[in-house]
Amino acid sequence: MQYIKFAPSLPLKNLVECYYVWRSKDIIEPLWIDTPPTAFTAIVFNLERPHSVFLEGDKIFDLPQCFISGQSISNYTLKIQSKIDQIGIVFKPTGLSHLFDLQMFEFTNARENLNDVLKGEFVNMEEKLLEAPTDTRRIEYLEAILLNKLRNKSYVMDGVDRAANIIIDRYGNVSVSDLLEDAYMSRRKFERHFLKRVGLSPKYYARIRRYGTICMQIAGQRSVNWDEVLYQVGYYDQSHFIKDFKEFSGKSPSEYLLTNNELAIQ
Amino acid sequence: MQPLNQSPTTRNLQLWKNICIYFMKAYQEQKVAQMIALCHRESTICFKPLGDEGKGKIDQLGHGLWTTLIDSFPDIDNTVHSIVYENKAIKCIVSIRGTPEKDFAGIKSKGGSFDSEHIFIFKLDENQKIKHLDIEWDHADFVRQLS
Repeated sequence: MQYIKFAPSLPLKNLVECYYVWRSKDIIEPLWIDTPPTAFTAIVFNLERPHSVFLEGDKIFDLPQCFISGQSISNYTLKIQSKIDQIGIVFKPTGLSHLFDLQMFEFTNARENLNDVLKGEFVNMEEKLLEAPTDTRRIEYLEAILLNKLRNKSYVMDGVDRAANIIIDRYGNVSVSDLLEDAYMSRRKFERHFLKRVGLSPKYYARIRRYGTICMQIAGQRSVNWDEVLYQVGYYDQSHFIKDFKEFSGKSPSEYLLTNNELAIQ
Repeated sequence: MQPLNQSPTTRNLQLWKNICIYFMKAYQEQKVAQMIALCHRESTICFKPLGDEGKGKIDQLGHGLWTTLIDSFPDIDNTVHSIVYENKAIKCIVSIRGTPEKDFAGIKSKGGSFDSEHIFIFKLDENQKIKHLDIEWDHADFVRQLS
């Protein structure tokens, strides 16, 4: 299995985290991958058969061929049962909202068909991506669309965008009152705009980012030094950590460690 | 428009989430009439920690309780943390906070504030009206914060 990341060009660096290509050479046996919240949103193009998702308490459902993935607030399991050929755009927390004028709370814990949400924005993109001779060419197609959107925007980063990016950069280990102080707006306005642009409240988003960071660190491991992991992401209260872990994963940390089947991608 | 017992289309899901967000915004702005206007006239409500006393019609029990709450906590405010579609309903995790200026539901006002996580579960009908609302919170913790 191959997973390659590509950096965005300079004008898009505040809106796009990265592009990625994920592929397998062969048809693979059904594979179940635990997927914790990442604190990022994405547009995903499946160029092979789409995968399925299993959400706790829900039945398995097939993902659309191409979709928008909003913020996740709980673990889900991805079922892969065919060759993988996927290309995606991973957005900074407020990137999708700015580029496509989306209210991101509408997409929280949802994976919506791209054509239902952004009609006409990515016309014939699947064909173009399939025909592209190289990954670099594929990324260029996607980036051209984003740059074109950006050209038609009067986009200026404000305190909400900065706060969301700080939460990402500091792995959620940040005080919301400090973010609010730097945002130069009322708490109400700050939280409303944050919910619209990110899909969650600042406090909840920081918790998700912290949890996602821990999951990323323990991916593929069966034994970890919890004290060290918690210290690295700034969890000074173990009871908060256990509460968050149970809320988002449905399991205790030790149970999760023994049973998780995440894809270890850094 | 589909009722919520079927898988919603993308558009319906967006509409429903927006209705619930408007509801929470009206609550934040202390506009109880606007909250009620988003509900069907026969809508029901269940303030779960209050048991049978917490069950009734939104335009009666809901209206009465929110009006009293706002009167007792003039600075009452809320933060919507997340809003998702789950189990054929819209689930909203919200923090509600306020400082009492009067006694509320038998709890003496001692000037202390509360900040309590609430879960609102909205069920909507085919006409985009709220037809039922469940509200859950840790009532013992709420009382403890105010006492």
